[in-house]
Amino acid sequence: MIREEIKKLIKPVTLKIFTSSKNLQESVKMMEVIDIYQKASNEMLKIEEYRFETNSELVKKYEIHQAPTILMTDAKDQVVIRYLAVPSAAKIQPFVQALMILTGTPNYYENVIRENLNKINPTVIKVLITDYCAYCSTVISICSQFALASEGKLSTTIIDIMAFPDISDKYNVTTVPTLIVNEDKKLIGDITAEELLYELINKTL
Amino acid sequence: MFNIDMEGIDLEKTYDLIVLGGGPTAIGCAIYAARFALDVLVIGKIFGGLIATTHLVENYPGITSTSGQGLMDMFKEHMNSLNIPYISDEIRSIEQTTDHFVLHSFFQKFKAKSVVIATGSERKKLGIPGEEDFAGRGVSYCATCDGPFYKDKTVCVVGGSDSAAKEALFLSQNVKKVYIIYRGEEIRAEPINKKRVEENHKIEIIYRTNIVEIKGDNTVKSVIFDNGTEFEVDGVFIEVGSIPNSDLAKRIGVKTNEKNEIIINRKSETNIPGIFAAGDVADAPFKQAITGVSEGVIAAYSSFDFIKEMNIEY
Repeated sequence: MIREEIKKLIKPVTLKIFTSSKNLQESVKMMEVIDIYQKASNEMLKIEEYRFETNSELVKKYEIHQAPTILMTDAKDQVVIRYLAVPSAAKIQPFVQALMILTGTPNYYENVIRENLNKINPTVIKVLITDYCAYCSTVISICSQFALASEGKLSTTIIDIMAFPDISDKYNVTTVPTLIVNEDKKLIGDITAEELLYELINKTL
Repeated sequence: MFNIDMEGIDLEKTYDLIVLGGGPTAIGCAIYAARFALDVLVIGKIFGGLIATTHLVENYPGITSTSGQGLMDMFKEHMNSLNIPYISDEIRSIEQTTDHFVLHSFFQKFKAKSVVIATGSERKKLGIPGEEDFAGRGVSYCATCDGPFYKDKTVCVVGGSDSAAKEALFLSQNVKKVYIIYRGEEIRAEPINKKRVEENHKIEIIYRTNIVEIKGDNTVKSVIFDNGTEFEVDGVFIEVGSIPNSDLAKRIGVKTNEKNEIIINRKSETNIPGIFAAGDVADAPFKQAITGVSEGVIAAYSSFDFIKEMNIEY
């Protein structure tokens, strides 16, 4: 499915990936999957790989706390989406979708997000997921599109809690998907785009 | 898929058919509609439907055994092969003009000559103290999604249906012990699954019992039975049936029965010409993925007929 999806990318885009010898197994797995994307992308996908341990300036600049991490950055080099997750299985489509939007494909939620930008505070949305979660793909897609439409006000971090169990323990996760909004609010289950928007602008449905 | 090809979605055009839903009924309907050369768009709240949360599907003809998500991946692939556009959104209202319907979501509006409502159903809640408080902290409605968090722990499944039996069987792969808590005299699982439950040493059934409260601190610690017993568990999986997602239909005047299911005929027609319904949201007595797909396919054909009779070129 990776090969099928990534072929839809028709403009070049660059990903920054931080790997780590301390989390070698997961780093190797991530780079193997990214390699499949890259080889099937007709040279549209460029990869910049950095070692977490030897690139302290970049680690600080991009606020990398754990690796492997994939960064999707905007034109101003601001991080819009982070993947602490190998973009395989149910993550493939939202991952490619985000790459396509970064290169100019229309974003379904853009108009409404832009209309509400002045009501949205800077927010980090952590999306805690697993590979076997039926509804995670849709929720990743919504959160990613929101971040991509937000002109830097929102960023989304997708975290595979099986790969990062310490993060799962920190937030005491027993249901996926779980959203952590600004380290403060925990939203669980198949949250819709409308519900998330209302949460971000502090309104109730 | 997932709005990925927005360039393929024309918000100005009037679609022949808009299918509401993201489960097998909706996708089955859309596949047939596309093959009838209808201009079709699918709008679903969440792709996959309830079946995507099922760990084992063994009764879909042609597929010996797969997971619910596996089945939906096949539906997705089939849908993609026909270039059927899908949008993740929820339609809030539908208005009828002289020759088409206008569907409004919070984010966009769409136009269609006909509509199939295949919005499915959602898990019923127990409505007892502690259920809402511990949602995501030990109370779950999806064993496939959340079961792996309970490795070597003790959990209970509330309910006596085939789905409850399958949830218990899935959970037994990881947990120390699963108790099925059922108010009836005998679980109503398909014989094959009932036998599997009976032969599984990790599963025990407690009959003639209701849970009246869920207790804990940071996470679930116990449940209270209706006989007053406090029973220690680490997780509660609720599988007590489902309720049809028919609110939108009711708001626009589609007739429903006493169970809030949309009343349809053999052609999947509702009381409003041009609006069809199928699957779990409709009033069929036996609800399965395969029966939903069947009704969805009939709805696609009825939509095809409806448009033909309108004498509108498509």
